[in-house]
Amino acid sequence: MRRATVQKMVNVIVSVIVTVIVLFPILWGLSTSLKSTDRILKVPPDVVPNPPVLDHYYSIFERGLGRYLFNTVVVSSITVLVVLLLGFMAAYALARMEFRAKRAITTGLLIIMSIPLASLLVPTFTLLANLNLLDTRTGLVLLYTTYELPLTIWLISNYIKTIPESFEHAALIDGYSRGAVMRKVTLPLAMPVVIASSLFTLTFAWNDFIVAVTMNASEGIKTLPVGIYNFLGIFSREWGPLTAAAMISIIPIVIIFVVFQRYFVSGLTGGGAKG
Amino acid sequence: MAEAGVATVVGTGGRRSKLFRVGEVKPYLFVLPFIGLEALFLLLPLGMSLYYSLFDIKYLIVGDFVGLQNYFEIFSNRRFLASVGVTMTFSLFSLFFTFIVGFALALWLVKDNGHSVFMRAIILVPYVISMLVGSLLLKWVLSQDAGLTDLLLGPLGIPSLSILGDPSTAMAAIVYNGVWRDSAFAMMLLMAGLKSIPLHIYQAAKVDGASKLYTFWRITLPLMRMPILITLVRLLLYFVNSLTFQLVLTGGGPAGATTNIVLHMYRSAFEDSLLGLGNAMSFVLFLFNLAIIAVIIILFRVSGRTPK
Amino acid sequence: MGRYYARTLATVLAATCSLGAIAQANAGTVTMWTFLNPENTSGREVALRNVIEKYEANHPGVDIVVEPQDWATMTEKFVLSHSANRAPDIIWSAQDLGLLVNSGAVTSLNPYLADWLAENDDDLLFDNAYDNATYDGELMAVPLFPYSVLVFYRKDHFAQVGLTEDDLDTWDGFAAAVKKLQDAGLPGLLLPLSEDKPSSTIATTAYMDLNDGHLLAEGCVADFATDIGVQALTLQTDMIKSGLISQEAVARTNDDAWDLFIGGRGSIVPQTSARAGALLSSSDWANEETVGIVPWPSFTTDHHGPSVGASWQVSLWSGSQNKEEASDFMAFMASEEGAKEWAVTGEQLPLRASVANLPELSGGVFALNQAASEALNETGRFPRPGCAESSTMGDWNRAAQDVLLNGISPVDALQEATDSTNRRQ
Repeated sequence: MRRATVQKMVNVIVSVIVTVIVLFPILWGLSTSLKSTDRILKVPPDVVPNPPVLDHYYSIFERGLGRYLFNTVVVSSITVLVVLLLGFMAAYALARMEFRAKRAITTGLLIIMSIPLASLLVPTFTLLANLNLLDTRTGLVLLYTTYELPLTIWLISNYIKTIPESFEHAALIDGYSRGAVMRKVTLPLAMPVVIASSLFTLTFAWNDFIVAVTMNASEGIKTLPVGIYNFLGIFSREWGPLTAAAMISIIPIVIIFVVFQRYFVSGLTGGGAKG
Repeated sequence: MAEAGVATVVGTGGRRSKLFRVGEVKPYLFVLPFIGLEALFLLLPLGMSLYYSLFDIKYLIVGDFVGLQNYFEIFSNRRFLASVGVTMTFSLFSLFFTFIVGFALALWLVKDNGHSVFMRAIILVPYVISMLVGSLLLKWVLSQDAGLTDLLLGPLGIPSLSILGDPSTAMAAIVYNGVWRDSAFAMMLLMAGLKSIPLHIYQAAKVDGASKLYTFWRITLPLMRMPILITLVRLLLYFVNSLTFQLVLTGGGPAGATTNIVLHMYRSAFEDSLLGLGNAMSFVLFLFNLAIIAVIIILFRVSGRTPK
Repeated sequence: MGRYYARTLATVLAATCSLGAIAQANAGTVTMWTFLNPENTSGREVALRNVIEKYEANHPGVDIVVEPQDWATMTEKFVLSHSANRAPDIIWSAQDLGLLVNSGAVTSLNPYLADWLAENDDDLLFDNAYDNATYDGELMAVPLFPYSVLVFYRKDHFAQVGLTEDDLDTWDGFAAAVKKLQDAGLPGLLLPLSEDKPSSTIATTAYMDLNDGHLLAEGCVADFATDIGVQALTLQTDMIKSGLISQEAVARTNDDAWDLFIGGRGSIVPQTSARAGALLSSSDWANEETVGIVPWPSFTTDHHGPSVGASWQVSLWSGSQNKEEASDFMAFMASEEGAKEWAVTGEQLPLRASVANLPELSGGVFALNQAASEALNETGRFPRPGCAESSTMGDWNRAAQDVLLNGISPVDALQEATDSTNRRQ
């Protein structure tokens, strides 16, 4: 009883310390986003905005943040879906099927993952220009898919290999087609890794700045990180709009994560690992 | 007892079922879209950059063919060689701390209760926030002018310190930035691994009277080989190729103390517009990455052969 | 094998290059890349919107389409777009005109604007900006907003300790002033010495002063590892060693130093004159009574130190299908009407003598602009056309860092800076 109380207290103390360390810079950003422009860089700084103002939040939406947000949502959600579809298929093949190129592809995954992306920017720009994909959301989706597929495939196929094949055998014997087995047996069993890898893809697509700023120019298809970056202007760093936009950009992805926690759990408890 | 569980859960990778041995066509259809995309958008640009690395490129316009001259220039450049050292120092320290912190967090928060869900969400925030903004905010916090360091270190009798103005503390600052951001990534991957370990194995160990420490070393760690391998490889690749931390937090300084290969390459290619040289560096970096993966995998193979 | 490989790649490359590459040209539509977004509300952006609206009203059938760009990558992207044959008609640039010209991405304006220039020559200020945009007698850009890195200082802090701007005439006076401010417990000098986003410093200014006003010699050749180079670098490193500049300076970018100045953490900071307006709007202390702009110090009282001038300017894409319309619009942006918009609405330094004396241009930011304009006219040195100079400031900062932190001798550090700069040309 007393030991449990001590444990609980330690848990609370550790939680508080971790929260402070992790969130301090971000809470600073939140506080900044609520200050009026002439108080942001004031010394000594106001820890709590006094008075808090929402001006920067209004102004960023007037300056097209809604559109940037929309573009980011479109690009990242399509990327996640495409990566999952193609990634799961390929991962399944690598984990469960026999074919000659398998070993080469498995090795190839590792090699592909070690290509430094920064070096590909210039040739990729030329390539997209010639494919008429420059300055399009499609181009971004294709690039993000290309960059995130190897990790996804690697993660999912390694995971599928750890699932006993007996479940799939049973389903095949029950008369399911192989496609149905994939969808109805393997996919649910692999749900934890599917969700985990989707989160990685989503985070990459959501936050990518360097690829988007290189490939896309038009205001209409600009994504959120590029919009945020533009607040670091030549004439001044606009900390207010910058931090306000950053705060807005965190919210959806944290919500997604919290929501998917449940699936993370159910994917496991409903899965074969329990057996 | 536990060993039997290991075999069914993890050991199936080597066995192949006759039922799933299908014709040669279908698996290729499954991997074809993936291969097509990688070939077009990754391997072709890689080939182009390798090709460009053999030319003298100025003002983004391809000039004379110079063969391997760019490569010779890189390896005779003291600053490039220094950047290799910086890359290794940064990557190894960041990897060590991120992995330890990530593993600790994963073990701490693996149980699905309200507290864990809440803490996981908090820890994830630095990972999901734009790296650019994260590093900018961190720079603000770490700068001497913020006064935070004086506030924390003053009572300990440590005189005012310029964290970003000193080579060794600046390195510590970018390592901190890496750990701060990527511990969540390690936590997620390792937690997914922890969750794939069936509960009954732990229950069996408990029945057998195994201590917590024993259970961790003898059951958790061996069963976590694959997730650990994935985490290490991914983190290391990630740290070796990081650019934003260095560019935003320290600008590669002071005196080049945090200029890694990627930042050096970035400056040559985009600020100096010496694309041929930049491409040569990126190819060297690619080989460097391959070597890292090979070393880690070999280490794992070797350690895997030791009897359990 | 190697040759076969290279040839295959070259073929693939050629094949992909021939795939697309169709320049789109709609008669009457002029596209322009700039870092300004005419939909936004800052003075410069409103000015751009007004200029476009006026031009379109006078020229029915011509449509000016602005595609706002990230300023830091705009030039490189333009050159890449030029190689892919799909660039906009007009491109803005500041210090990267050399890249645009040397890559062949922009074309001479002489065929279109020679007469216009001759007619307007008397009224146009900043002749140096035009010289800087002229390559082998060909005008490659029309300057719009000239600016220069000058010294901002706190008039109120200076008054408190009995200093005046005259104390900043010489380096000795400059150092003494910083000391006096520090001794009085007032904030001192903020100097950004990071390699990232570098700008003019004490060392580069002193070097230019001792080197006939130039950073690079004829033909864009650097030769810093000389007695005057060492003298200039040591002037700066000594100020750090003696505590007049914080060691944290080596980690500060231009933006960091500026934010600290806005926050009231500095009394002297070098900064581009174009940021005067942002200073007034984002601090709670700055107004024409509390802040001033002066030229850099020099070693003697008979002249001020040189400042590096630059200008945002517009160039014409060499592949443009609308060169006539585009260049006509470029001339309009620099016309009396355009110049008035930039100066009054946009709060930039006036481009023309006829605009400079407008009654609207008084008080507030215009007072600072006036001081900056005078300093630029007196001390501004525009880089030699075609020399890649902006990263050279970073080489000097690296040299200072190496001397301070790695114990390298000033001569050796400057030799590395020389090599880095020369490799880039």
